[in-house]
Amino acid sequence: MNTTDFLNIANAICPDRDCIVFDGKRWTYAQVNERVNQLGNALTQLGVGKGDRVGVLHVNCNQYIEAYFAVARIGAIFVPLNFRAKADELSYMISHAEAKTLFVGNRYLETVNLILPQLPTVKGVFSIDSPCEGMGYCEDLICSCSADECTCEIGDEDITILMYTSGTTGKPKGVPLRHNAFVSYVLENVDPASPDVEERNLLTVPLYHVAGIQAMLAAIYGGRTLVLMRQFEVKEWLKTIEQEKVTRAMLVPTMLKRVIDDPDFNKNNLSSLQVITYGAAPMPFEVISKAIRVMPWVRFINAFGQTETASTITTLGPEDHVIEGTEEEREKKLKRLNSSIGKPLPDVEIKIVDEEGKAVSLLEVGEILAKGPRIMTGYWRDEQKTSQVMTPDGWLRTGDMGYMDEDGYIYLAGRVDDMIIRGGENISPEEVENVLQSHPKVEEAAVIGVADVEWGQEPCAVVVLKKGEGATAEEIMEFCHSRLAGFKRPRSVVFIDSLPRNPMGKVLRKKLREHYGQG
Amino acid sequence: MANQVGKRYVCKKCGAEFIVTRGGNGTIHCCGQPMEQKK
Repeated sequence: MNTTDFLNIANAICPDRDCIVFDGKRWTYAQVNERVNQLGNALTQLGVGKGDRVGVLHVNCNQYIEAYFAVARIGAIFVPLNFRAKADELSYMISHAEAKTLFVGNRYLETVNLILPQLPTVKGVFSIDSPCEGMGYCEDLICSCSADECTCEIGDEDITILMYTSGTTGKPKGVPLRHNAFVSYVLENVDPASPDVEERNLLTVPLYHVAGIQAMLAAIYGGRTLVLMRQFEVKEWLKTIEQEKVTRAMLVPTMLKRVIDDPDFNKNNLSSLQVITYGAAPMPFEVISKAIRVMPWVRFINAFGQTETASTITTLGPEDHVIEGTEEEREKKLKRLNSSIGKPLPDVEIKIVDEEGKAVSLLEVGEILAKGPRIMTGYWRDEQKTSQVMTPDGWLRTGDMGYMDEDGYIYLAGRVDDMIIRGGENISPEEVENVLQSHPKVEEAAVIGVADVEWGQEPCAVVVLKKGEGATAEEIMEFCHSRLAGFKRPRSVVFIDSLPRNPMGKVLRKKLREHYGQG
Repeated sequence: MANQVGKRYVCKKCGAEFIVTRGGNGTIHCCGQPMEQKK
């Protein structure tokens, strides 16, 4: 089975059901299937074949999804490009991928035209939104070809997507994701399309991110209606949930915070919502606690994963977001909600190891490793980086530190790169941040290591106060005094207006270290 | 037994699972016996 079967199966079971809703327009599964065939046949006529790379540079739109399935059907490789990338980053990714064809949103054409001379492998550029002089137009391609089924012999191990992930250092890395990785995920975790069940997914996470792709593929396999937003905007999100009677949504933590903090939150009827999945960045306890409180009818799921694992590998399920039971059970659940990423999914193996690669005991912190059909086999054309993250026996080093409790729940303890080492003792920034963020005057906080002659590093709290609040460094440090072991307490505090974050909301600790880490 | 579109059938003997993408009047067999509809 491969990812093209997701659309085939759903189209066979519910052809007349809305597949995509975007910009006031709707396409049924049958219509999407037809357009996918037309586009696939067009690409074949253009000389795009098995293994060729086809890039898309745009915000979420129906053509993005159609292009994915068209490319997949002819056995080519889909390269979703970060629309926020600067010209030189785009040039790097497109040449590294050796893309043959590009589909580009009109607003990005100027950038692409600028870098085109540096992209000798690109043979065709097609605008997505409207015709543009000097290049092809996506809709013309679709209309020019028959809707005869286009197929190709596709092996489980064949690559379907080449996705670029930007780490905190160096150039973006190309992660080849196989058909099998996504098939494994959906078969284990998603119910297939059913004529009796109609669900509606609101997709705001960008499709250049693995979370967006995974959500899209799961929705198609499940025969759900995909309601697309170009980009997240909170008031539009609230309105769309109500108007389209959305049942499922995926949000990163910063999006969820904006939703629940929005003054118009109570003005919209969100009762159709059944499930909110969140991930892509750590979720502050205060945010998820408030979300549960203000949307008690919603089932929340924390999904943890990486591009290298074809997205979700562990989940903290809805039952773990319901704080009830005995005193002991409630305490356990609160702890899990605070920092657990849940348990591994059925098709994933997880182990936690020390620096020497030996398994650690329960409750002991080590690096989280993952194995299984979802894991990439290595970075695209980068043996050196591959050898840094893949062990010889096929385990992926996630770069995340964590520990497992006696019930099998995994807890995060920061990134390997972000770990603070003070006098030989490891300090997890996230543990200290959780304490800081529980201070009534603190909006958000990040903890970094500052160079220290005596201890090697000392923890420094970088704090954003709530609007209108004032606090001293001493006040903040005193707050931590009774809540953290001595060696973990911040030795200094810096107050700033906002934490630097990437588009998915992850705090960029490297930037903070560059500014404040020298002591 | 009519096989309905979207319904899943499982073999009680070997565990194989099928999903019907086009219905018909026949019965799906596996391991020499009719498959059961998955609830």
